[in-house]
Amino acid sequence: MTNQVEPGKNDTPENVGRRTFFKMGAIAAGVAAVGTAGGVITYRVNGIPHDTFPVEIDPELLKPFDQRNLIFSQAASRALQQQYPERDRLFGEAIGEPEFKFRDVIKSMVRHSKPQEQLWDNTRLGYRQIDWALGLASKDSLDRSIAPNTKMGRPNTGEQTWTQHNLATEKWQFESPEEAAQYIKRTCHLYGAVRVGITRNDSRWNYSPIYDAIDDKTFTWEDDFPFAPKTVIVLAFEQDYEAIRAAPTPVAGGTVNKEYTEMSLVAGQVADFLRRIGYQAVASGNDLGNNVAYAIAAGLGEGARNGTLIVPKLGNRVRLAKVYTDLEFVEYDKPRTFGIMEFCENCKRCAEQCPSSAISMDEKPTLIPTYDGADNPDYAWHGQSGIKKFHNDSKRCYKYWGDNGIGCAICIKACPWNKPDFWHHRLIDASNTFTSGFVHKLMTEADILFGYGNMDVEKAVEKFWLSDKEA
Amino acid sequence: MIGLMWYLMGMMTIGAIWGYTHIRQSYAVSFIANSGLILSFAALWMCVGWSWASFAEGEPQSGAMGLICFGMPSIILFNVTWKRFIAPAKKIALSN
Repeated sequence: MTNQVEPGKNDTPENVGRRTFFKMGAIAAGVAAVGTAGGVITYRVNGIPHDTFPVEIDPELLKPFDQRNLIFSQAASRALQQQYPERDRLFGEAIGEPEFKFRDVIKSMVRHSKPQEQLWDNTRLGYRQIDWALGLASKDSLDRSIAPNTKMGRPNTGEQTWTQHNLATEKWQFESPEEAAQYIKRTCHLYGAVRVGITRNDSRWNYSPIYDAIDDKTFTWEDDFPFAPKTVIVLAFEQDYEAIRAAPTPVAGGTVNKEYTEMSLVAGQVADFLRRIGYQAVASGNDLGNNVAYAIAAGLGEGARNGTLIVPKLGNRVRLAKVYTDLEFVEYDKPRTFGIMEFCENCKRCAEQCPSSAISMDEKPTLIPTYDGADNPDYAWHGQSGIKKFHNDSKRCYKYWGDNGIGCAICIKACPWNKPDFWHHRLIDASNTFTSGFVHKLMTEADILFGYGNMDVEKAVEKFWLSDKEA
Repeated sequence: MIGLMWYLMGMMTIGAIWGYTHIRQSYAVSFIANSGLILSFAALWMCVGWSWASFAEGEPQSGAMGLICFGMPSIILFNVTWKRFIAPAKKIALSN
């Protein structure tokens, strides 16, 4: 054979020194290239830090959000329903149900929250008596005592009280802002938060006025809030992966409600901790301000097409709470971008799967809503314009909650960023941070092809109940 | 479960290094052959890691896709590399 070689003869290089030099050079170049690539990837995966809010804002358009324009407020407040009857009428006409009223959604959810045989379907996985029990028992203590009506955005309730009880007269003096941040974050993690970010109080993201839809009362930050907040601590709580996969059934509701309960409790505990070291603090859930905006500002993640926050490693499978405090001597986190919004531009998986077509199918985020009817202020009365994002018709989303009896979460389930914590998902997350366009579309399709995009509800419910969390 | 996966993948890597040094002793391994071996090992590594993790998280479809997308190219690439670039370059020991 012509290409067989004899050891010690034909493979002897003519110029060993030069060849070795080139070999070593190639190896060094390879190591340098891998090192540089690793550094760049790590930088992107950890998020690119920004000094300002990392989303384009039009200061002319962006105004503090009036909480009376929250859909929850419209649904819960009889006063608002009387004041704005056209909100019900226009939306009812748009969906072909002229008799529709936002209040009906609350009625449906309250009706479903009680154990009633006629609402169970024991032949349908996910809607059986045991599924409803799972979904609802996780919020009963929240509704009864921990923070009643907090899910609807009611301020000053339960653990989220504005009363400054246990406020120490002596202030604990931290040695440095870094130490303060470390101690606060360690406390939050101990109590149950999985991610913590600290940012400055920002009037752009605070509801103004604050509104209690149950008592039809408005509050101002200047006259009614117990102190002038300086800092907002944002807490993220992880929802169970298998349970979310069972969306939109009450099984998914089980983890959503469980995290609402936990976040209210933990935020309350963190507020109490701060008061005990001498700083005024108020815990907050869906009240007081925009959770997603604050979480972005605190560097926890990025806003997504479906309006939720996507947190690296957790996806949008999170619930958010916050604690307002007058503590100012603390290290603030920087907002970070992870390439998530760019991915969302190319992936429309949540919008395609949304049962109520509430999520925008736009190619690019916009400063103002673009959905049908968005040009009519009596139809597009909710949401905050002036920030570049995908503006969704949340009314449609909320309507589906009523139809389903217990919320939805299909968009969270469908999101390709929603994955359990296994190494191969982190690898894909990392690649998504520095690829773009076609590759993102390819990743979305691959997600479906690999089985993660399977939207089969009954299979997911069965899998939830049989999954072994101790393995 | 995942701990066992990393352990076995570590063992697999050590086995691959041992096999590679063994091949180097018996064959003249060219640049193309080296590239083929490295790529086929990387694909095999991905195949085992991806599929194992997917089965562990309860997504058998992803596990099966991992076998197809990474395992099959690994086998094909190794075969081609072996038959075209390694086997023909066997070193012949000179005898008296």
